[in-house]
Amino acid sequence: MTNLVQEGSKVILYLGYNNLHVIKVKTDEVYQTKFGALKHNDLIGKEFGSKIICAKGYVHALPIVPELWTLALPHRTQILYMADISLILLELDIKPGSIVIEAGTGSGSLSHSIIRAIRPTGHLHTFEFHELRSKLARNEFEEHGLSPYVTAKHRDVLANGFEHENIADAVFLDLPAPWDAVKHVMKVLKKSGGRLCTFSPCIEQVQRTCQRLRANGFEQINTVECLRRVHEFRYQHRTKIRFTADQNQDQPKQEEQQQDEEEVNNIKSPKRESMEDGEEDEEISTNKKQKKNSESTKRQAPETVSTLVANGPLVMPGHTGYLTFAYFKQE
Amino acid sequence: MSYLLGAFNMALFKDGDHAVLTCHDRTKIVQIRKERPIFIDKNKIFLDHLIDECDGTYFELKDRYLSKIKTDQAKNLIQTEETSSDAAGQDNRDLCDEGTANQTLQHDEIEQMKSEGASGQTIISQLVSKSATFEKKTVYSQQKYLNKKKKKYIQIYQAWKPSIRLLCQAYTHDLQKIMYLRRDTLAMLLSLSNISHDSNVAIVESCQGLILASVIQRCAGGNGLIFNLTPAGEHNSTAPCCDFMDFSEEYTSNIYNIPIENIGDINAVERANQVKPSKEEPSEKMLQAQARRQRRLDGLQLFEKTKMNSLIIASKYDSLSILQHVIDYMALCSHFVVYSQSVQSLLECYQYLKKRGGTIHVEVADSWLREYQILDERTHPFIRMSGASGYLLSGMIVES
Repeated sequence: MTNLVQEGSKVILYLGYNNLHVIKVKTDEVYQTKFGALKHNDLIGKEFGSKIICAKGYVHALPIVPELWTLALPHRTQILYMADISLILLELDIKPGSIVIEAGTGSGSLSHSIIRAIRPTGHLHTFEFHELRSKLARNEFEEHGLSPYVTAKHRDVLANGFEHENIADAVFLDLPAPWDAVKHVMKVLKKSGGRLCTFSPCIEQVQRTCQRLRANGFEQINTVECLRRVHEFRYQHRTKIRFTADQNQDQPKQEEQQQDEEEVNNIKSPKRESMEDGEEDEEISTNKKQKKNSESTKRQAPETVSTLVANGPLVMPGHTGYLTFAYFKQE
Repeated sequence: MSYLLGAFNMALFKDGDHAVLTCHDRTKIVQIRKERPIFIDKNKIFLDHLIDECDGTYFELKDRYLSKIKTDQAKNLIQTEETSSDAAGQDNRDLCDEGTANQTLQHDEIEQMKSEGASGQTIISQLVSKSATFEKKTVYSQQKYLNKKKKKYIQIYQAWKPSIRLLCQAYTHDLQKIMYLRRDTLAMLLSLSNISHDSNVAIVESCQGLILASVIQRCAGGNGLIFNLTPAGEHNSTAPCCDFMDFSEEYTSNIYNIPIENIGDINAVERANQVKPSKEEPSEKMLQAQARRQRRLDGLQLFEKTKMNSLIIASKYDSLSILQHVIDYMALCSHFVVYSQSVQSLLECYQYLKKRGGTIHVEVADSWLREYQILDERTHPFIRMSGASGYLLSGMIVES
């Protein structure tokens, strides 16, 4: 895999956080961005990761990396995101050499991560019952140079099974009724044992699946949910309140001075308005004292401390689906 | 065909292999060595009979040996069947918690049964029949009671080939050793670092080698190089998990343990070579030590010439200074991930990265992992859950 952008390369243009666009590089084509026109010719021959300057800003040209692809890919279905994808790979022991079955292919989000993990000796068999979606996924695998590691077929696995027998180390199901696929899963997993993961948005689906798994001799059945929370950075400015108690204690001598000064001032400005409220009077005189304090010790702005903080996001993903894992070995 | 046989044979336990034993909620990593026992709860146990058995086999403890038993036999012992509601109560209105008085079978009677070799099943049957409240419990409560007794009295083990998932499970009661790295955080760390076959990776970790082992597994040899940066005196700190995984020579030949203090120091190798050789005849041990030392120096020189595709930091040492020293070795489009138990140290790193420039998609995130009990009429999340996922700072290096 080359480091340079070429004609026909798929490139992820990174304009900013949550602002990614996929393009296929073609000579003389132009892509309009919010920073101005981006000429494809400017990309050709550049290293991936390069900064491309546009009229009003810049973008970065990135390769197809599974995490970014998940954020940028054209959705044909609801997709899986990194939190679920990562846990699936870990819990199914997916690694180089693994033979993995996936149904349905959907938009290929999980598929890309599986392929990265099983290269170079493993293989992914992915099935999709929607013909166009299957074709689009197959094209993408081809364009991204992943065809050697994946076979994407148009097939209804609930009706017709997984086509192979006893080849898989791991099976992943993202189907509305995964319990109906259990008998097929039992046939396709290796005789020496293998693992299954089902992803279901609704708890009722999970219950039915677990019932069917238990009835068919699956073991180590467990269900989890994983949510990722990205924190938001900002500079928090905290202004400190100047408590008079602190100030008065610090400067008793100056206060005495102030009193003398004030008396002098009072004499100088007899037209001070009379106050109804005695307290207000005190406050004002205190403030005046303070002002004078600060005047005399140099006018000080209230102290402000700025720190970089990470705050939780106002909105975060609250639910994607339940992940159920299990082990099966033919006896 | 022979490849398939080879693959099947790889799934059998051999003398010297590591295995993971699971029993109810407990997970223990062991090494199979003929005639050398291991200890579980102060009990001496011999693992000889594991040899030539395969992944997922059940064993019961018999005369200090773990002996294979058939799966259906094991399942009958472990699983609790649905009890009939005829032999159960409807609710707990009449149940009084008398503490230990509810169980009329005495502790010494149980010990007596154990010493006579009574099976776990027998003991449990006795406990049930001598319980004042069992019949009045609801069917669900009865099942829960039986499951609890099974955990205590039935010792059925399953043996597994080591995997990263099982290593994480084994460390759940020893999290301090792996810097409280939770499995979902580890999983995301591996994704965010974009580790793959042929990646050049730099790792600085204090998790007993758990991260290094995960990386070794995902790289599976390949043309890339794995640099494990360890401080002086801690060169073996990452050995535990790597040993547990029984990696082949093919997987480990591209790993270099290098002294982290010396990176970027052009005189370090020269200084090391100036050490006068001893005049004595070198012993076998000394030769091995010299070879290891030489490999570290070779690795150091190689590190200086390599552009990294991935950088992973999960160190008990100050992350910021490590990041500052390693970041210039990163290639364009490379990925970095820093793990920390607290968010504060990651904020410092974030500030540094923003000032330095040349990074994009920088995120700091944590995660929430919840486990569920899925049973008929009894589905709910588990009562306790982990509240500490730790934090990951991640991003990519680009042209500035």
